[in-house]
Amino acid sequence: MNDSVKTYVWFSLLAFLLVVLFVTDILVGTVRIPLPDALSILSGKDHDHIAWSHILFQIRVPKAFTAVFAGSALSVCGLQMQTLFRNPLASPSELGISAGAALGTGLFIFFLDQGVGIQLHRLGIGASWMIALAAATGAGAVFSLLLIISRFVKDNVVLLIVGLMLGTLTLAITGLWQYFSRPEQLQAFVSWTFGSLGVSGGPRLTVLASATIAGLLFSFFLSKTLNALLLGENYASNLGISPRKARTLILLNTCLLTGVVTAFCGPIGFVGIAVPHVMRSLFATSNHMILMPACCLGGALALLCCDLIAQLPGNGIVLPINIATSLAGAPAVIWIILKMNNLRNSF
Amino acid sequence: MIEAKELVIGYRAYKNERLVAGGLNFTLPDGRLTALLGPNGSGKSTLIRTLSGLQPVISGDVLLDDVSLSSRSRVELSKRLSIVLQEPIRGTHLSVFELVALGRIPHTNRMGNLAGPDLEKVYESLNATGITALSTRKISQLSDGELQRAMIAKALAQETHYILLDEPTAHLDVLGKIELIDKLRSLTTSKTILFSTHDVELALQMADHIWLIDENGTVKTGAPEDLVLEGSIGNIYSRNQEWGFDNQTGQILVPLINRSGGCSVEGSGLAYEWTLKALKRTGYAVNTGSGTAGPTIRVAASGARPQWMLVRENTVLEARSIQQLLDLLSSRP
Repeated sequence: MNDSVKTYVWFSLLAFLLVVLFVTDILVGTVRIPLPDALSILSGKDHDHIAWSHILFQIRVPKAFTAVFAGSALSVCGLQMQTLFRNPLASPSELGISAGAALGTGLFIFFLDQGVGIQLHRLGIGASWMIALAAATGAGAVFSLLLIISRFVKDNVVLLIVGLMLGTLTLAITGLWQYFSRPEQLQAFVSWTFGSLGVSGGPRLTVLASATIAGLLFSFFLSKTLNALLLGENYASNLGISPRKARTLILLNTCLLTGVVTAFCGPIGFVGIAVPHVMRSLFATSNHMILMPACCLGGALALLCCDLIAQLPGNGIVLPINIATSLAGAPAVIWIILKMNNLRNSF
Repeated sequence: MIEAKELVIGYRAYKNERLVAGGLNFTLPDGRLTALLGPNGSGKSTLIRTLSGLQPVISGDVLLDDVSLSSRSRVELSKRLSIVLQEPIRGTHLSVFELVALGRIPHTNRMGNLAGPDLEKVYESLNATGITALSTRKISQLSDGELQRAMIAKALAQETHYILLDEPTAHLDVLGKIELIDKLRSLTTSKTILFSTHDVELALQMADHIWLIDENGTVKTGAPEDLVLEGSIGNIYSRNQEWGFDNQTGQILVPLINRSGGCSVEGSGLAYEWTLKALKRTGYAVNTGSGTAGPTIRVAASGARPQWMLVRENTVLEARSIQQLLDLLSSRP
C-alpha cells in the first residue's frame, strides 16, 4: 500500500511543521525572548523573568493556540461545505454566515454608541465579549434563516445560491449602516473586519477552544456521512444516510465553528476555501477520514504561517491577520494548486 | 421478492403532478436477471428510482419482501437493496478500493471504520467484478467500463439481495455490454437483479425475464420469447413493421433505401452473404438465382480471397473487393 505510506509521511511532516511553527510563533514578536529562556519559562522552571512570562502566557501562547483552533475550524468548515455543495468555491463565508457576523458586529457598535451597550458595559461585561456575542448572534440569525429556507429547497446548488444571495443582502445592510455611521464607529468596525488572533488569554480562549474542539469532534463523526455524500444524494440515501438530516447537521456544525471563530477573530477569509483544496491535492484523496485531520493540521499551519508573516515588517508593526492571509496565502495556494495539477479531479 | 400493486409512478412538485406510468402490477422474480426495456422517456429511470425508494410513489404500493417500501427505514432498505445509477460520480480522488468500501457504510459503525469482515467483503466484491488489479487506481483514471464494474462492486459490497441498475450498459462498447450483462447473469446465483437498458437484442438473448414499458406507461412482463411472440417487443421497437425489431430474426433492421435497378447474384458462402448485404444496403433489388433482368454478379470463393464477376449484357468485369464491385455497378457503361 504505497498510498498509505505516503499518507503517514505527510501526516508526520505536517505535525512536525506544526510544532516548529508553533514554537517559532511563540518566539517571534517585538520583545525578543531566546529559545532556552522561553522553554524554561513555559516548563515553569524560570520565575525570574516576570515580564517575559507575562508576554508568553498572556499573549503569545494564547495567540498561537487561537491560530491553531481558528485555522483548524475554518478549514474543516470549508471541507464540509465543499463536499456538501459539491462545489470547489463553497466555503463558510459564501453562505452569508461571516456576513451575518459582520452585521451583528456592526449593529452592536451602532447600539453601543447609542447608549444601550454602555449601560450593559457598566454591568462588567467586556466590550470584546459583547462584540463576540453580537457576531455570533448575527451569524446565528443568518444561519437560522438559511436553515429554514433549506427546508423548502431540495437542490444543494440552489441552496448555495440562496446562501450567496443572503450574504450579499446582509453585506448590503451592513453597507447601509456603514454609510450612515460616524467615523469612530466605522473605525471600530473596520478594525474588527481586519481580523485578529489576539484573544489575550483567559476565558475567551477557553470558550474558543472548547467550542472548536466540540465542533471538530462533531466533524469527525460526520466523516462517514460526508464520504457517502461524495457519491451524490441518491447514492448516499441508498447507503442509509438521510441527505436532509446530513445537510442540517453539517450546516449546524459549520455555523457553530464559523460563528465562534468569526466572533472572536473577525472574518478570516481564504483559509476555509484554500486549505481543503491543498490538502486534497497533497494527500490525493477525497476520503474524509484522512481529509478531516489533514485539514485540522493544514488550517492550523496556514494561520500560524500567516501570523508570522503578519509580523514580518518588524519594528513593532503587525499587519492585520486578514491582510496577511490574503497577501501571502493567495499566491502560495495558486502556486500549489497549479503545481499539483489534480484539482480538476476533485469536482 | 419485489412486488408492485396498482403502482402509479411520477413526479410531484408542490401541487403539480406528472404521472409517468400507472396501474402497474408486477413482480420481480427472485434469483433472476430481469431486463427493463422501453423507449426513451417511458419511465424506466423513474420506475427504478421508485422501486429503490429514492422517489415516493404517487399511489399504490411497492412491497419489498412482503413489507411496504414506505414503512421500511432507510437503513433497513440499504441492507436489502443497492443501486447503480446513471449519474456521474464525482469527488474522484477516491480510489476504486475506497469507492467499493463506501458500499459497506450500512454495515460499519458510526465512524465508518472497516473491520475485518468488511475488508474481506470489499476484496470479495472487487474479485467478483474482476477489478482487483485496479483497486489502488483513482476513479478519474478508469474507463467507462471499469467504472461501471467498480459501481457494481460497490453494490456487491453493500451485501444486498436486490441490485437495481439504471442503464449500466450505456457508454460501453459492444463487447463491454455483453461482458457486463454476462457478469450480472452470473451474479443471479445469489442475487436478484433488475437492469434497464436500450440494448434490446442483448437483453432478449441474455435476460431471464423482461419488463417492457411503453410510452403510455403500461408494463408487460414475461420471458423474452413470449413477449416477442405476442408482438409486444415488435410493437414498441419497430416502425410500421418495416424497420426496427424483426420478429423473425430478433435483429434490429434499418429502413431500406430505394435506388433504381435490380441485379441477380449467384454463389455461396460468407462472401456471398455479405455481397447480398452490401447490395441491400446500397439499395439494389436482389434476385437470387439467374435468368432475370439486370446485371448478374457471380461470387467465387476460390482460394483465400473471394472474387466477383459482374456480367452485364456482353461484358464481364472483375472485382477484387465489394467496394470495387459496387463502384462498377454504379458506373453506367
